[in-house]
Amino acid sequence: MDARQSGVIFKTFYETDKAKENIMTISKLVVDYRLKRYSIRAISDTTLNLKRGKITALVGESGSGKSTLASAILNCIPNPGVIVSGEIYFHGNNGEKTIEIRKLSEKELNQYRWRCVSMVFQGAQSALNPVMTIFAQFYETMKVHDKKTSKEAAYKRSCEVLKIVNLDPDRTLKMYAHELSGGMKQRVMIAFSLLLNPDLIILDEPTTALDVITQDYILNILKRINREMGTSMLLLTHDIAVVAKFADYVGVMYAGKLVEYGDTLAVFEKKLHPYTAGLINATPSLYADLEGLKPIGGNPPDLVNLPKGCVFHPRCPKCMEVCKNYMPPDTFDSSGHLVKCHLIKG
Amino acid sequence: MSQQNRDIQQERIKQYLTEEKMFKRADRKEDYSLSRSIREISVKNVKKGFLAIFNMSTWGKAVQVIRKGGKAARKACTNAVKKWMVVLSLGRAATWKNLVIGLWKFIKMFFSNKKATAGTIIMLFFVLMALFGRLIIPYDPITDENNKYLPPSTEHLLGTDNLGRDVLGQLVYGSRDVLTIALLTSLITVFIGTSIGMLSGLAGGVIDNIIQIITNLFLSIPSFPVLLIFASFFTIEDPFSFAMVLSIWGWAGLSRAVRAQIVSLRERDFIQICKVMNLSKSHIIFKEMFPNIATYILINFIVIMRNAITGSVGIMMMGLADFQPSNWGAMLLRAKDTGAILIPEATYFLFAPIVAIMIFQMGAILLANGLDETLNPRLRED
Amino acid sequence: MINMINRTVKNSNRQKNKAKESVGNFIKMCFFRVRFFLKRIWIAMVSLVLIALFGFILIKLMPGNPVDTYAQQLMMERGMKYEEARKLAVTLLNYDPNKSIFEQLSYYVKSLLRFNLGTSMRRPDVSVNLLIKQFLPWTLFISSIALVISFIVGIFLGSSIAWKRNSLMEGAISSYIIVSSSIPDYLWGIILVFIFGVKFKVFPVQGNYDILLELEGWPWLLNVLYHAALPIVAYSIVQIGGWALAMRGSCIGVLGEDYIYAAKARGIPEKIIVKRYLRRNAMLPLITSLAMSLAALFGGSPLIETIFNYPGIGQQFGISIASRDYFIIQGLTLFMSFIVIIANMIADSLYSVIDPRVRRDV
Repeated sequence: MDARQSGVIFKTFYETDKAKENIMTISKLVVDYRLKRYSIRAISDTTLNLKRGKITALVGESGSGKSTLASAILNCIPNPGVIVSGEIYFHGNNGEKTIEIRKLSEKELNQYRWRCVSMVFQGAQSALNPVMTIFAQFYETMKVHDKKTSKEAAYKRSCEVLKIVNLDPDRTLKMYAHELSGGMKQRVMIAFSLLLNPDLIILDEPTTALDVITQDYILNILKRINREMGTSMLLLTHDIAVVAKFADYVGVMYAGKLVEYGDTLAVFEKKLHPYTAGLINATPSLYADLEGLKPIGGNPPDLVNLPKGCVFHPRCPKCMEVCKNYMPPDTFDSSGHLVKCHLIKG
Repeated sequence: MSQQNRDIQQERIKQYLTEEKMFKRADRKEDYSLSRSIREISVKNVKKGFLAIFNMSTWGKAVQVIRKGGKAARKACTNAVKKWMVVLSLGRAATWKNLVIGLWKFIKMFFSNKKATAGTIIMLFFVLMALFGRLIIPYDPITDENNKYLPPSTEHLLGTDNLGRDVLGQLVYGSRDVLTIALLTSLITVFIGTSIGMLSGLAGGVIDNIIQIITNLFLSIPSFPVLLIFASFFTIEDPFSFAMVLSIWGWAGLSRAVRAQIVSLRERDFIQICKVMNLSKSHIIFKEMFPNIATYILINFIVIMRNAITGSVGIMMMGLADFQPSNWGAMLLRAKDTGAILIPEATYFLFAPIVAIMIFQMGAILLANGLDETLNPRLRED
Repeated sequence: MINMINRTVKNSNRQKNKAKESVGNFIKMCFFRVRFFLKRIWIAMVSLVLIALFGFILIKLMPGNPVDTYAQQLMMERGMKYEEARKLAVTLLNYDPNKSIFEQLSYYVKSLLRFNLGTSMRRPDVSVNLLIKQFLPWTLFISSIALVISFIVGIFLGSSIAWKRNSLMEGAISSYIIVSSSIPDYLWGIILVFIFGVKFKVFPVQGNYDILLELEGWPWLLNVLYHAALPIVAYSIVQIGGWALAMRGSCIGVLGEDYIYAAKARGIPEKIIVKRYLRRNAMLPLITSLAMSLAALFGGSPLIETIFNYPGIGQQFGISIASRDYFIIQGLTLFMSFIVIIANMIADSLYSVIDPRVRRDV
């Protein structure tokens, strides 16, 4: 069953010159959580390009806005959250036209979700309906997107995807969510996300709740999917080791802002932004002594009262006078490496 | 852990424990006469004593004693209020200022909630009507056959009943009894239910199992038929016995819920820490566990008042407790028996108690929901 | 070659072990299931015994001596001597206060085991079993229809509010819940009688069917339904509010779960999410309450049945209380309690069948 974007009818298209190399362009996105007495700015003015066919990783601590970004891409941010401004463009695969996510109608949005972009949730969450079998949920998703799906076709496709993640389809499809182990549940979620052959898969901390061996296993499966099927991936995590091993591009987020972005090797070697440097230095290495570890001082940012000027300045070891008053501009490198810091000029 | 940290921790524990001792010492320094008059109003003779709250003279006496007692009496009052603040989980008020601040925050939050405000206003209205209504609207028990079923007029704002008595006067006069029954039932039920629930939850083991089986029994047998049975056995002559009858069956639900909460609290970390810190059992029970269930109990108090009114009116309508003709339930019974449904002029007589009951219950529901919303952090829309 | 043989032996061993293991698992499952039910049955039995004891104590607590009163009644009616009247009274009422407590207790238990729940004090030819046979079906008729209607409508209303907050419907339904719970169900009965029976005269307010018309077959059924309409509405008004409130609470709990968010992220339209994800999951805890309400069906409401003059078991209960006919009171109460306990037991067991997550909990 081929459910590429070509089968879906979208109404408005845009022309961009980035369509060839990027699969998604997030442009100046601002997301707020509007509570009764105050608002929390979860994402402020973020611009991000996801390259086609590559694995992009977003690193950041809890509360840095990664999950909100994932929800924004699918346009289903939970209730007090609102996309204030910005655009998200999705450039389909191979010569398809570009659509803007915020302008889609309800019907188009339901078609866009899971067919063009799908998501793998964190393992600790129970993203599966406890009273339906796995097959019932697969079938339902397929039926919702294409009413003419027959049960046999659905069964065939479910077996295909389950084989990709190395699960036994006959046993797994009849089980309920609570009967699966953690690793199995995560693999089922990955299979689920592959169901309609999406062009982009978002992975929200896919291996955080698992032990290291299963983690490696699952990440290998993901890498294989990326290589064989050319699916682009957006990996959200706070584990730098995973990023180093699997991602082609890395973005670092802090307090809702993208502070550094570039090719993985470049970011890890150059460590241009002090926060990135702090993160990487805080990771224990196999060779160096443990006493060289330096945590990042200070407290996590208070998203209600963000500091004036650069968001990171209270904790930055290289803080200057200009950092306290002015927000740093986006500085682009020749290779497209983005840094948001006063230290790096031009 | 380094020696320095351990010392700091010891200091903190000592400070905490001395604070406890200070509270206890302050209590003992109470003025003897103050405690005596408080005891007069409370436990020894519950029936007489409780009804005495509605009696203005006892309040006058209490105020006199407090004035005479001087500084020690005032301090005793303050300490009592502080204790109750802790129990009601409004926060530990270490100073007079904190107490006021805590209370003010609670009041602000409470009255910003529409339901709670509406509920309080309605309940206050009824309480005032029960306490002072008789002074404004007199009740004339003299029957006058000629004035049967008069329509509302300036003299009888809600008309008259089948024996010519003023309907509004009866309503107002009867509200005192109705409210007394509801309040008494609530107090007794809450007291019995909480004690048994806490006993069962804290004791565990065999006692817990026995109490559980008994509670299940009480829950299984449908309550209304049993209430009718008891009402027919024991003649009901005054609010107190009515309240006793109503609470005999009502404590089971509350005790099971309290037990469930205590069992879940028992295993939680902060209780285990208290045990490790070697704090006394009564401290654990009253200062740590109780504030957590206090809000639940408070809300249940109001819910039980609601059920008490429903039950009491039901019993009265079956003709089993007819001691005061002005009681709302008795009014309804007379209305039903004398065929007021069929007589068009008697409509006001029939509907007056119904509307009164409806407004009172609505007030109770709104108040309970409002309290739940303000005190339960999960429900706040913040 | 040897390797091949070893491999096949290992494989067949593994298969045998797997088979043994699965049979063992099956037996263990059966054992757990049986133990699960046995525990419930044991508790139910103990409760039944305690309630029977309670019934016995109730009789002993009765003011006055029923044998003497009845003997005097017989004396007046049939003009017998006191001794004969007393003997007759004892045999008719199955109660002899002169015997020792143990004999009374054993007699009581024996008659219970024979399903003899007692006879009326005033009219010895009327036994509790007869009353139950004659009046219980009518009570069940209206109570069950009312329960079904209330449950379905209540669940529907409750789940409709929970999904979209702050809309008109939420205000309307919340107000309905508050107003309907403020007035007890029997007062709703009076209001309904007043509006529809007296003012507008649309529905009949007495009895279960029109005896004078002597109908049969379909017209009789229609007449019965016509008479049952108002009592059913009286029962339902308050119950709908209760179920809607419970369902709303349960829905709010379910809405916080992640699979609702995941379903939305998958592009499943709102209507299907509400239908299959929200309702089905939120309904589960309500089904235990539903089963417990089944037990309350058997009691009926004495007040509503009295108001509508509906010949059901609640009305009989009311009559027996008014005439202080303690044997009937005791018999009916025992009957209702038995039903409640058995229904609770079934409810507990059913819940484990419905919710796959509860199955492992013994």
